[in-house]
Amino acid sequence: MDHQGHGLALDHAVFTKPNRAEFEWVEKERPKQYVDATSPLWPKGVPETYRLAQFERNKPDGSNPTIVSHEGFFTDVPGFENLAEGNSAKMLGSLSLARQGRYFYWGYSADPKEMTDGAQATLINVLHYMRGRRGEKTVPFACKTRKILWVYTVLGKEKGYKRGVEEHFVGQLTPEWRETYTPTFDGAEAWVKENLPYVFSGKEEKHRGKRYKTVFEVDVDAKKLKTPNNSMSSLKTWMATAESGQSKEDRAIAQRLLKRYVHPSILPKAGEWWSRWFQKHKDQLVFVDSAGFWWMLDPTKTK
Amino acid sequence: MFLVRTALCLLLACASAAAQMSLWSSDHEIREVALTAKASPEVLVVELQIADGWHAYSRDVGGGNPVKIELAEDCDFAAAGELKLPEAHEGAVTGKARWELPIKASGDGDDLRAVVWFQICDELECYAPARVDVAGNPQPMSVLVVVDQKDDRSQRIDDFLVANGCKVSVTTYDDVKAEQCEQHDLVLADSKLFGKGKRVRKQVLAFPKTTTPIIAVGFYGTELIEAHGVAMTSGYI
Repeated sequence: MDHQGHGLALDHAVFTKPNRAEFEWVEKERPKQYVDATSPLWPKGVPETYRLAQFERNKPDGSNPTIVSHEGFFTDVPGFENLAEGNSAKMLGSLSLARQGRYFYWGYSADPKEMTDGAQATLINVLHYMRGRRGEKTVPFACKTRKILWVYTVLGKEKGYKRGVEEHFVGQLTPEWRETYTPTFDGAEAWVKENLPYVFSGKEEKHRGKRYKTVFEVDVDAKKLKTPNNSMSSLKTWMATAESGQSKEDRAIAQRLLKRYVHPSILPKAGEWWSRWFQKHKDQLVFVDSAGFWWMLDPTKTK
Repeated sequence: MFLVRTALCLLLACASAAAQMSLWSSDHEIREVALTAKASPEVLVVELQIADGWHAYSRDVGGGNPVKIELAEDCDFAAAGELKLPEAHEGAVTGKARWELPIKASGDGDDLRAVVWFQICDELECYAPARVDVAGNPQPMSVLVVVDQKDDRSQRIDDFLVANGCKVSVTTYDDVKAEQCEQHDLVLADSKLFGKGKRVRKQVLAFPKTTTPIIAVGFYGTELIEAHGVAMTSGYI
């Protein structure tokens, strides 16, 4: 990334309080890799010409790193804030300003000699915005999100990036699921279409690797019931089936799914019905891939 | 003696100015005036930058309404003295002018809210009185700046933060300790561009865990966040 930012969440406090950040803007034509793409800051995509704010006076002699959030890697992380994107040669959705819990990522120089007036005002606002967040909780990190498999697929189809589908994708599947995967652009696309809603990781030793820290598996139980593991309606189906499923097998599958995805810290107490458990927790329940593919309580909504 | 007193006054003036935090101010529609507000726990400062040909009033001289500052009754501050007025000519204030209201804190002392009323006029007419809400936390922020090494860049960052009301300590990734982080309101973990400056990746990966909010900058910032097990750096491919 360079010295500019786009898609700024200009109504956010980091651009308005206490200082109103005034940027110099440059207008550019949309780069090829942004065509037909969306991101949390560009939900309708980038127009043919778009504005970029100058955060540094000059293009740096090197690259500023971005937080890679292609198509919302972290949209399931409670309280995660996408605040600005940086230029990315790969895809839309590379964050230059972002916050998770008490961590704020500032993807530009913090040297006032290099920062523009707008960047200086914004950095001071960031200090104000963050000062009251001592000890603020966020969900823990356990593994990468399933979105990475989608990214390999899209980068392959749209940019011809072969290593993603030929090497990285297959390297991040458990051995039995490698057998179901064809390492081509079309093969990756078909696999993602069929399996992504049922992918999980972060549970067992087989989900960790030496080269790839996160290894994914497909949940055959969830796939059999056609219940994507991160859907609230799936959770309701599993609870109902566990308690009053037609067959013993259905009830066993549902119970396995609940055990696999409901975080141990909030499992129902002995004798407690799932329906009652759900009433107690429903306003706080979130599913977070990166926390280990769990239904868990949103720490930003602590009762 | 005179020199000592002068030096002391200058020091106090600098300390006072340094400890003033910017306050948020709401929009107003009068293009001929820019309003800014700052505060420390002892004083609320409002500055108007008035365009040439226009003036505000410091006191009632039978023209427009003088500038007035009203503290919100339910905030943590109350007036502690008379409003200090800027220099004026027959009550009229021009150019850049400053109003200072002594305040005193009660409760937590971190919630300051006020309404500023002003009216400006030229030779012929006056705008309707304008209302601007100002708000913020006037307590100075203590910021621990962590750098690869103390150098010109770290000095510039230090100066910049001090000029914006922060109390700043600078340390290095070699020396930073958890207790230091805990003692500050914020940590600014700086980074030069990848491959520039002193190489401290090992120290960044061992950055102490702290409850203090961290503003993580650039390359080392991503490394620090990842080392602390925060999901937002998990998207690397």
